[in-house]
Amino acid sequence: MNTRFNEIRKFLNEIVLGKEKQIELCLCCILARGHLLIEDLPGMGKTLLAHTLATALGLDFSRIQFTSDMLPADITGVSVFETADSSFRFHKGPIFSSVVLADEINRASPKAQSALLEAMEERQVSVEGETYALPEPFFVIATQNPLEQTGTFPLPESQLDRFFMRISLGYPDRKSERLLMEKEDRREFLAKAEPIISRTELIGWQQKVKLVKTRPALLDYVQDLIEQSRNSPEFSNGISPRAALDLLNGGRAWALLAGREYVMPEDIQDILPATIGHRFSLSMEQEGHVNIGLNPAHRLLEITPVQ
Amino acid sequence: MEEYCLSRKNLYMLPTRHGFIFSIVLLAMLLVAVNYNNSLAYLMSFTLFSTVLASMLYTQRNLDGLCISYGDCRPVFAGKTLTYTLILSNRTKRDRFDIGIEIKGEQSRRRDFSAYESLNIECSTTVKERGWYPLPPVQVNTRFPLGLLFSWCKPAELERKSLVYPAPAEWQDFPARYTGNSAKPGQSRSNNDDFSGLRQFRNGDSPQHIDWKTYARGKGLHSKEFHGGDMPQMIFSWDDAHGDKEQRISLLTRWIIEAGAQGIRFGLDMPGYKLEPSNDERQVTKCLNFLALY
Amino acid sequence: MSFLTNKFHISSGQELPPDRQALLSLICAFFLSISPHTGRLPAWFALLAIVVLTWRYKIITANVHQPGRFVRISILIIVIFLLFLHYQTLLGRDAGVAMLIALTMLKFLELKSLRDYMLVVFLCLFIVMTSFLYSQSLWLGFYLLAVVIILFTVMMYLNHRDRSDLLGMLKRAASLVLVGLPVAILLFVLFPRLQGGLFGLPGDSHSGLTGMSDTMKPGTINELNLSEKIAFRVEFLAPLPTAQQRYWRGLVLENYQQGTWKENKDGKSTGSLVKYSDNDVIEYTILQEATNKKWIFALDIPISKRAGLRWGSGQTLRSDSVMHERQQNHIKSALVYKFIDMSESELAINMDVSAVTGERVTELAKHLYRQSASDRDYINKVLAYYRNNDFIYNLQPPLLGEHPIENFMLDTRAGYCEHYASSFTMMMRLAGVPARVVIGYQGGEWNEQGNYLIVRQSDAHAWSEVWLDESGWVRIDPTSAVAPERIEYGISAIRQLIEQGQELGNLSQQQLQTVLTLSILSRSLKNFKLFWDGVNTRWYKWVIGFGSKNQISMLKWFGFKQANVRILIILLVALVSLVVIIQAWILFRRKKVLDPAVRQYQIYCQRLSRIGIVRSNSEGPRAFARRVLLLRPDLRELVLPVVEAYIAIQYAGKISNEQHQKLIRAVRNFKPGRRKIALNNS
Repeated sequence: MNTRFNEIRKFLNEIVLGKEKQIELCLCCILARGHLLIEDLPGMGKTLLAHTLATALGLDFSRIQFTSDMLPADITGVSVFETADSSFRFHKGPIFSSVVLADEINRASPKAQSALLEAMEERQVSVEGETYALPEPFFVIATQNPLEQTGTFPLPESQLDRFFMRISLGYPDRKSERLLMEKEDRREFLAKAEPIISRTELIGWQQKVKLVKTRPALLDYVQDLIEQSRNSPEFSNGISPRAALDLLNGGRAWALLAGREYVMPEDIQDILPATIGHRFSLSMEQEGHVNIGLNPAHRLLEITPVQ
Repeated sequence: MEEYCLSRKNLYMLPTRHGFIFSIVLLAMLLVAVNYNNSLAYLMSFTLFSTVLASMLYTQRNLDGLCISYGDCRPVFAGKTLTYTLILSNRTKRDRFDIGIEIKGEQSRRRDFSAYESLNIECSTTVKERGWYPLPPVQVNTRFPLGLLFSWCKPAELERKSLVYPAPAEWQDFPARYTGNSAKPGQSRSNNDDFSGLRQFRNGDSPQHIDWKTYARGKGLHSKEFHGGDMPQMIFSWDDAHGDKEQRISLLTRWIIEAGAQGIRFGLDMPGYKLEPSNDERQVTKCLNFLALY
Repeated sequence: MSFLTNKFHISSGQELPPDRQALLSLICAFFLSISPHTGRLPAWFALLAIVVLTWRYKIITANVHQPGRFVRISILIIVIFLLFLHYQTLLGRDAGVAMLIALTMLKFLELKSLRDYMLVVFLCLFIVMTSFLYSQSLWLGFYLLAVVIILFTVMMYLNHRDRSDLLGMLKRAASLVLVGLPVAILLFVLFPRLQGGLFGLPGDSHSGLTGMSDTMKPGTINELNLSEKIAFRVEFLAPLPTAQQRYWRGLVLENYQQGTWKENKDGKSTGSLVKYSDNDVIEYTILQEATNKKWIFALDIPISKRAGLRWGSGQTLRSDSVMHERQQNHIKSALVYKFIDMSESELAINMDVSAVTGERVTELAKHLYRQSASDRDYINKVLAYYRNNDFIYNLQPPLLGEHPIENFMLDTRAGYCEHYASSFTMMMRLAGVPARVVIGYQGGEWNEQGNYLIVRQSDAHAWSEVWLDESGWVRIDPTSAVAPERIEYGISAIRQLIEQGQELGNLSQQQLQTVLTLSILSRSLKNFKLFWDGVNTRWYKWVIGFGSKNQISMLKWFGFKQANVRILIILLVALVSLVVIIQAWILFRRKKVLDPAVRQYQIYCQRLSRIGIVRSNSEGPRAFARRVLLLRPDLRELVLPVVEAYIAIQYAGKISNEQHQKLIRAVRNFKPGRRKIALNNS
């Protein structure tokens, strides 16, 4: 299994250059059946990442570009009257794909946003009383412009909570940038590429994540983190139970990716900033003292002891 | 003892000056209560008394379970500054407040300890005499919570000692029988010795021994080493040095350091102790240890 | 002991200079402490406080100089002089407290070191205590407990290095007091109490007590009738007596001179004046408020008493000593009884009419007596006379003239119990029937919540006893002839009826009900008042009233044959040590028993910290190992077995004895050597 992971890693890293950590988190997110939010400027390779991932895992891929005039039906699909047999037939929207790239999600109106987020949460779509199950696996990569940009509807905290992880890609380093310029167009390369694993194999892995062991010592640590985030005056709101479960699942997936059958505190520490970072914040009175740019998750890790 | 942990057995407690004043106030209150036979006045004096009693427990508890140990401590030469690390660690989940730390020769400090926190204190002191230097005792104290009681530990008897080497004397030539004609010890080797290898250039190496070929190849300065049948080996003897005991010891120390730095095979010949020559790395340490305690 | 004399002396160590925050908190704490006293202090204290504290604050903020010794002493002398002018003394409770507060205030002017600050806190604690000399109410107790906790917080604040976490200190102070509470309660219960004060009870400790007087003069306005103050509370063992039976016998008045009824000092003072059957005996505990008098009120008619009480004349009870505080008595009474014979002298006193003036009333008595067949018939005739001649029950009757009895019977015909009792008794005597007046209380309010009866000062009552040859002294309440509601429903009902302009004596049951039914609001208010009285009663009974008597009875209850101070002290010491030991055990117990694997891992970390590699709290085992190997690659062979074994046990769940042995071995082998000695010989 480990070698299969390595193959995927190798493939992904060949196409998306210099983003090992992000790719790893991305894989972790898929394995843990979570959804990913990428917050970045345009042109950083978000689409490429999503596309590559879909190709490598042998999944179908669709992209929804969110705009301010978008309607929920543009995402979920519409019922169209067929004159032939004079009945309504449901035309599935772009969301019926295994890997969905929801581009610039915060440019759409809250209504359209919530249509996507509901589908993400429930893994099914209800249109006019009919329920349609979404394909399995189902993985949404939503991207969002940094909030300072104009013309955005920021996602409310309750919606943010539904994303398993939030990462940002950032600029590539000099070396990667050079490679990027030198190598052939990676999109062409991608078009030729064959899937590395099958859909069923991926689902098998997703099942395996659940079998990764969490010992009492680790659960203690996770609970310490949760308590610390809830009780410490440094943070404005604590980790929600949903986030805590995500944290544990993410740790399991991360451990599996590392080829281990048990979770270690380091696993939790590795994924915590991405998993928790968007769901809680430093409290107001603390922000004055601490560097504003500091991810509250790092502060949380720093103050929680581990054995 | 590797570690000194505070517990009932080594903690003491006495009231502070404020504590004495408070007890007088308490007694006065009780007198008023008795005189007026006033139940609430009784209750209040008893509450104050029992709070002090409870604070006794808290004062003691504030120190209980703290552990003191010493960290890395390297031997130094007499007259130099000895630095050592003191580790004070809180092994429990309890927070500690206002722990005073008194180390002889150091400024006293007060600080809090959170759960499982451990503190490394870098201390330094100037040592004058060679031999074993016992690290100064450490005392930990507290006046938490009300300042009425003072609890302190019996100064930690860790009996940690640090070795102090003798202070090396001013440079003097190696004993005459080794110096021969040359003024510098490095030049004592004759040129026709068998070449044994190259080593990194050290200050003081004779320019004659520099391997210019390697230097020309851009690989830095290297000195040729020779290992010959008449490769000098020195045995520093007690009688080679002059002066009183301490002067002799410091001269020997100097020689040993120099010989060690130059990679010379050397031995030591002291009354009642003989060390065969060697250019082993540990030779220097062995000799210095011996001299320090001689 | 060398550790005492070495340089680590107790008073050494840096004391922190108190800052502006400390001063502010101290000023606040001071005001909180003196607040219960404010009404009692001379008005110029406010001025003094403002001047002194502003001055003090300026010293810190505006760098004003601290006043010199001369200034301070002169202020002190002036203040003492003013205090003396105000109180005429410097001793005693009031002047003492004022002096204490003044001195504390002046101490603010010379605050400098930590010791001064602490001293002010101590003085504040003392001031708090003095509040209890004035009131021991439950509210005040709670308030001052809070103030004590705040003062402890200030003490913590003053002594603590890190002064940011004020809330944490408050919590710690509160928990400190809470932890101390069991010992405080033990001390309170078992600390031997003295009866009375050390130097005798100070005279100023009891004043302003109201209650019944030992004489009765009808026509003087009786404030008792209006006071809602509680006279006593009664808890019954057996079912409680009916409203008609609730006559609380206090004093028997037999002498009548110049319109005033007085006790017969030569009366028989034994308890064996009556015969009764055991079936009619009722037992109860009566908690009587302080009266500064000696008499004890008991249900008509008391037949037994506890030690410490004695009999008064006419089968009444007395306390041996003046009741300066609440007193609790367990008494038995007989509801049906018969007085046995009466001596000649007694008879003479009870028939004495020498002080009665007025011809017409004598005529009236004789006239009525002539029409009667027997003494009993005469009683009924007189009662009928009241009923039929427009007598009014009135709490504010017109004043009586020169001949009080005659004026009342024939002219004003308006009054309350005293008038009726007095006139009725005299009517009896004028006809040659022996009669006397009994004063005490009648009625009471049943407290459902507390299961006890409250008798208030307004329930004070007077009635008559008439000697009939066949049945001895018989209780006759002439008031009931005029206002039966007084007996049935109590004085508060009467007052309500009067306020509503109802005529007493001939109201139908229904009319009464409508008048006496309370609205929901006032009923719940009343219920709350009763509940609060219940809480207060217990407070007084178990806390304020706790004394040496309770201690003795408690010891006896626990089965100690002897109950003396020695046993108390032994018990106290034993129990306090027990409690402290238990507390110490709880407090010193290490919160978490360390897992053996964790313990081994800690040894490993500790050895690493000794060579200067300290694990940060948030570093997991793998991350730490990685860092160790980065710093000391040479330790690879030693570090890896430890970390692998530890992770296997702790996180991979491979818990086996073998695995533990592996860890222990690896840790035992883990001896990171020191780095090579750097010989800096320059």
